Amino acid sequence: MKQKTREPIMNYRIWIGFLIIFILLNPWYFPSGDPVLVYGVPLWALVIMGVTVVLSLYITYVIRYHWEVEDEEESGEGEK
Amino acid sequence: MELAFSGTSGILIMLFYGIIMLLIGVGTYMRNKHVHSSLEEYYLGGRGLGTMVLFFTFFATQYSGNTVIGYSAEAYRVGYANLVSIPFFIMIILVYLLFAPRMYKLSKKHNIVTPVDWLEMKFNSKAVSILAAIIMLYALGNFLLEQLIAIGQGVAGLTGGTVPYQAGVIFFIVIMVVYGWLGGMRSVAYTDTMQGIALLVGVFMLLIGTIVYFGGLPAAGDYIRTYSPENLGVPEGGGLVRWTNFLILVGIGAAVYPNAIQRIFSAKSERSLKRSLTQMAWMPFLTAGVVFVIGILAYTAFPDLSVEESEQIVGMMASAIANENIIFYIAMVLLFGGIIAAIVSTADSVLLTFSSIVSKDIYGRYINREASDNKKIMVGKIVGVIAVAFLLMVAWNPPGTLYQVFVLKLEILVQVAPAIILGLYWERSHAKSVFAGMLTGALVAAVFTFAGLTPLGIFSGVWGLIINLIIYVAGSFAFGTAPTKDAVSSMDGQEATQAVR
Repeated sequence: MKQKTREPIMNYRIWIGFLIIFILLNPWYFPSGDPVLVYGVPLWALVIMGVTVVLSLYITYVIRYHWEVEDEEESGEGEK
Repeated sequence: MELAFSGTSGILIMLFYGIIMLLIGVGTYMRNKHVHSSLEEYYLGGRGLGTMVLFFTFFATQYSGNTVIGYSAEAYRVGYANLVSIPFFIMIILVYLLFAPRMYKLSKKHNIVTPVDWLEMKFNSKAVSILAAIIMLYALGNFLLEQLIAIGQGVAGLTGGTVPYQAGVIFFIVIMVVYGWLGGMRSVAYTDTMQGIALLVGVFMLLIGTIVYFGGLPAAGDYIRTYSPENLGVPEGGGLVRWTNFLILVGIGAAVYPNAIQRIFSAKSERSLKRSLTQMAWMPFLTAGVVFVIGILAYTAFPDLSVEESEQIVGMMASAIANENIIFYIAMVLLFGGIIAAIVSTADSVLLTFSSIVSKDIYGRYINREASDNKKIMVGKIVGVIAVAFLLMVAWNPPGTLYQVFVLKLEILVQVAPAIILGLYWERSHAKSVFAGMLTGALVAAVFTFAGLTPLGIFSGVWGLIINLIIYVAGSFAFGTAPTKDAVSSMDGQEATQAVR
């Protein structure tokens, strides 16, 4: 079965998602001054960690569903 | 600093890890004796690395012992602003998504062995290929030097100075060279697996010990608030620019490390590559994240260290934890073994890639085109060993004045990224403009680094990259022409206009 090839770079919508995540990955949107601590961790750091998890999730999603370029004879190779 | 486990047990664990590495490396060679038959066999493991080994070799190449020692100390010193170390490791995988799918496909189709092979195929320009090869060899050389020094310091630290710095370096370097020499990429990748596991186990034991004996994050938060409240604050102004710079420079720079790119070529199938990269997208939480937390927790144990003392923070904590009971004693010995193994595993892949560029891109392309693969491999190996010997001399007799020459790595290496990544997709790319951009970018990055210039707070490497891209893009618009039908990077199965070999 010949599959249609998919490359992440060719889908601009994916990169809009990455851009939004990247913008949120930089902590510019927090108030300065004494930070709120949640179990000893500053709230802003927890939010950034949350965005970081979203980045990993999104990468996992893109690899899984938007990356398919191998020829059919190669994709049949077994995994050890 | 006196470690609880310095002396005999340190020496034993060092010997133990060294011998295990040697056995794995030599064992891998024994099972694949035809490894010297071709460049692909030797440098890419015959393009046969499955998911697990591929993942660990990516992992061990990316995370060195420095990640544990240096990043913990940094987290201790600057506090939560150093949290950026987790996302920047994930950014590397994001950058892979820009080029790895097509790069993998092309490498398989056109027998590409090194990143320079790709540039040669794409641009067919001696200038671009040679400049890129020089930049890569230079950055790899400095990267290797850093690892050699780290091995020596690690060994001296682990054994409390019982084993002198030089003896430790020689011991591990000889082992590394022997297994790399015999088995090439296969030996490197399989030892990487053992080394990666050793590092992970050790770091987790350190985290557990720290929490058990020094308290968790709430306690650390209180201490930081008392001793250095600024370390809890959100990065602002220069700190924020630094944060963004790190995400960009490390993301792009680490993704185009030639040894990292060669791991893309070594994948057995697209599926193994995809799976390994997915796992890599989550590893920063378990490595950089754990290491960061350890640095933060160190506040509770040692709230008021000077900058110099803080460099020893991992050793101090490991030592304190090892004193508590026998289980943690063993765990901390494993941690230090794991740290050294992690440094060796980064060094071995750097050395292998260094040799591959010499074999294929310098000797094989410009000096002796007719040489057999076996001969090319031999030349690459010998030059690699000579380079190691030279770097060892530098490590032991650090130059007084020009030491910065040996510090440049990422800043200059990142200048090959536009050619490698943009070259994959932009047919209009114009070889002379690519060359001019790469050269100017590298010079700007080098000069700014030497002069300590960071205009607008932007890192020298990022400045170089910006100028590089402007020249590349403007030049290609002005002089470049989109090729007609059989473009090399087309995905529809047409043959390349240039053979790689």
